[in-house]
Amino acid sequence: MIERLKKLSIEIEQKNEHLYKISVDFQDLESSLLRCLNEFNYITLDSINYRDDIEDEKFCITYCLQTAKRDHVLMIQTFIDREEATLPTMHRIWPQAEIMEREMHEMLGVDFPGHPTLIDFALEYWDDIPPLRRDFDTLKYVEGMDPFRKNQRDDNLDVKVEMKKKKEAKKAAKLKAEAEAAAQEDKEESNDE
Amino acid sequence: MMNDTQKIVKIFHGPQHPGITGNMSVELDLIGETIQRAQTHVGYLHRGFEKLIERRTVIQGFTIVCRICVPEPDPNEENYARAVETLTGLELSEKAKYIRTMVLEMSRIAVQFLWMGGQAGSIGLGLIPQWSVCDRDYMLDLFEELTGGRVYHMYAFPGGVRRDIPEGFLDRLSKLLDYYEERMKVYDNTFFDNTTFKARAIGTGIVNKEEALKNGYVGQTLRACGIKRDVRKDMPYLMYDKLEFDIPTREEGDVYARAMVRRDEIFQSIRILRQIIEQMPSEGDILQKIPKHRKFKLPKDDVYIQTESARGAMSYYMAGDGSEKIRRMQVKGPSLIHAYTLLENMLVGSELADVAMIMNSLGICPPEIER
Amino acid sequence: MEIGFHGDDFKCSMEEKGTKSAQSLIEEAIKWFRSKSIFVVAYGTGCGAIEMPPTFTSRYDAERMGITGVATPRQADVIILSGYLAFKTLRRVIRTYEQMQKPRYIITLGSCPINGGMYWDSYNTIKKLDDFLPIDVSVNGCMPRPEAVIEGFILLQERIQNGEEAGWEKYDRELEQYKARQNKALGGHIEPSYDTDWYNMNSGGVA
Repeated sequence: MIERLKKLSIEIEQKNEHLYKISVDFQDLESSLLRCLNEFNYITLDSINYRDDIEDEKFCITYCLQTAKRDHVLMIQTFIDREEATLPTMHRIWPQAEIMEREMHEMLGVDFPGHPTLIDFALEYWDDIPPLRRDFDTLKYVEGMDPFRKNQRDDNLDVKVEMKKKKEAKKAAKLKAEAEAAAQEDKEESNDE
Repeated sequence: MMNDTQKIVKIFHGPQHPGITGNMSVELDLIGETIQRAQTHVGYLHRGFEKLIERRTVIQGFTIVCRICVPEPDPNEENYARAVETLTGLELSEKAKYIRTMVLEMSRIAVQFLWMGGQAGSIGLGLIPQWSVCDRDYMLDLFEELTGGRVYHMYAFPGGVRRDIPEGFLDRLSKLLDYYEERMKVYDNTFFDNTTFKARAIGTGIVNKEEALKNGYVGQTLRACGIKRDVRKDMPYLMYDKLEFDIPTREEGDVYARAMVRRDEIFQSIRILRQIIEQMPSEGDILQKIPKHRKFKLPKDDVYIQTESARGAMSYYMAGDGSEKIRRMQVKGPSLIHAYTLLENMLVGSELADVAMIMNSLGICPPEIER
Repeated sequence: MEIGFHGDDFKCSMEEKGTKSAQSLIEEAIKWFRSKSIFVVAYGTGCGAIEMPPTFTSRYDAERMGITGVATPRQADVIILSGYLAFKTLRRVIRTYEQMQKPRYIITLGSCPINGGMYWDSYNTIKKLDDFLPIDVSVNGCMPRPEAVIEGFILLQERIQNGEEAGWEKYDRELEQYKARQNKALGGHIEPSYDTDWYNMNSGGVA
């Protein structure tokens, strides 16, 4: 099937012997997927992957398709707007897309008009922004809840500070030992005299 | 006045239940004992893995990625290592490839024994879990000798493996495989030829063959319907194109066919391991030279990797952005589609007592659904 | 006159204990019986549930200590929290713990309930379980070996026999503080509430 696709004038990037990638515009997305299904026999939708490119203010969505023989993977990639993200729903053609789109809606905030069950997937009573966006800082969220034990974490110390303290303690002990040895010698000399 | 037998009763085959595989729940609507509607609920084990990985470098991510799927951590490590190698262009030596293949096959045998215990326990044969979990433990002893840990190994690293094989390890493995071949005759007598198991398993939980490929089912769900698909043969990786093995299939597509396919796969794994023991080279690099911790940068690219785990094909999508941190890693295990699209349709019309048996035979493992 | 035997420091010191009254003998007997038959609720809450089958089957047989598994919380003495807890699971664990009959104990496995473990920067896990539920025995490891789990059980048996203060007594005494901390972390929803109407909810309700 990939040979028939290569005959068309589309740019196909080959990453290794089992992986090919095509980039499409957002308007052609649904028609390209349906064309791959009907004309070129890519009948399986393996997964819908997503990525947040916050520097370009876009989401990068990848649909991974496979033929019946499953000997290579075709990635169809598109970029959508970050502010009002919507995608056409594919659950009437591929039933497994229903759960994948439900997860995308919860984790990334993408809207799918016409989807039957856009409800919670893994989170319960979540009232912040969708957690897999890049502007959600998970460390700040956790520290805001102030959950850790106080004064009992001996693994939360700074390594450089502790090494410095250890070195200074060693030096001070050495100086003290030398001073004591010198005082001991003076005492013995004065005893001898 | 409504007849009492027509009233709908809602039951939570819920998180605290002895008949559920892991920490998830299935909400069932029943009339009598027949199921009218089933809804799956996950989210009890959500840790936000994909957000944790975004804050970690390659070496830091390698330590937590094996905890994504609890009974079967090795395909996760293998996928992670192969994704990083594909992105950065690292090549493995032959010895490292043989060792990684050996670890994957050993893990496959251990998981099939654990499945056998769960499947027999779900219909009341309490003897089989006592035997099969003990037999799996002998394989975990070998893992402890090789990698240092019983369950979470942290062994397959981008560029090879972390340690060499100890002295005499291959002899001990060979003796264990002889022991397993003897034990499978006992399991055949008590479990696979058992009248009770056959009476309950034949004809329940049938998968529709025409939709199986289109809906994205993987693993034994496909092979028990007669469709011969396996990532090790279709898109070979590591040493699988040089080893000889078959893909067992059955035709019926019910619980008994999936059990027999898994039983045949144990023998195929033993066959692969014997070839590896013969062909293992004695010299070679264990780990390629890789940059140090903060200097191991990933290029600005993305890649999609698949590995065959004991229950089906597991896929990773990994993307880098030129810095030392991983930009994005998305995990899709075999249980996501089986637990939602397949289970909710298959349970309609079944009996309440068969829910545990069907879930065990599909191999549903909740930590990899919700990561 | 009874003679006590202390084994610490390998020195044997003989001590007079005096005669025991019948009441204290009955109490000692009850504590001994209680510690030798421990029933565990069937609930695998996290990662550590993978080492539960080896502990309870034939290789590292835990049933020789009198430990076995039961199906419902009403029949059980101990709940094992094997690993980390997500917020969604914590709501169900609180409900299960309060349904168990007294005396009831909690054993935690791993380092995640103590201070967060390796998911310390996750937005959905509990970092310090001591705030919400009283813990009796913690077993360390990731995962703890079956021998370590059995050692945890033996420690629990000794604590029961010695008559030390258990977690459930502390929970009863300080119930308001525990409930205040739980409500603050869980946002005031400790689900599912006892008067939820399951039959008329739309799909996607709480489960």
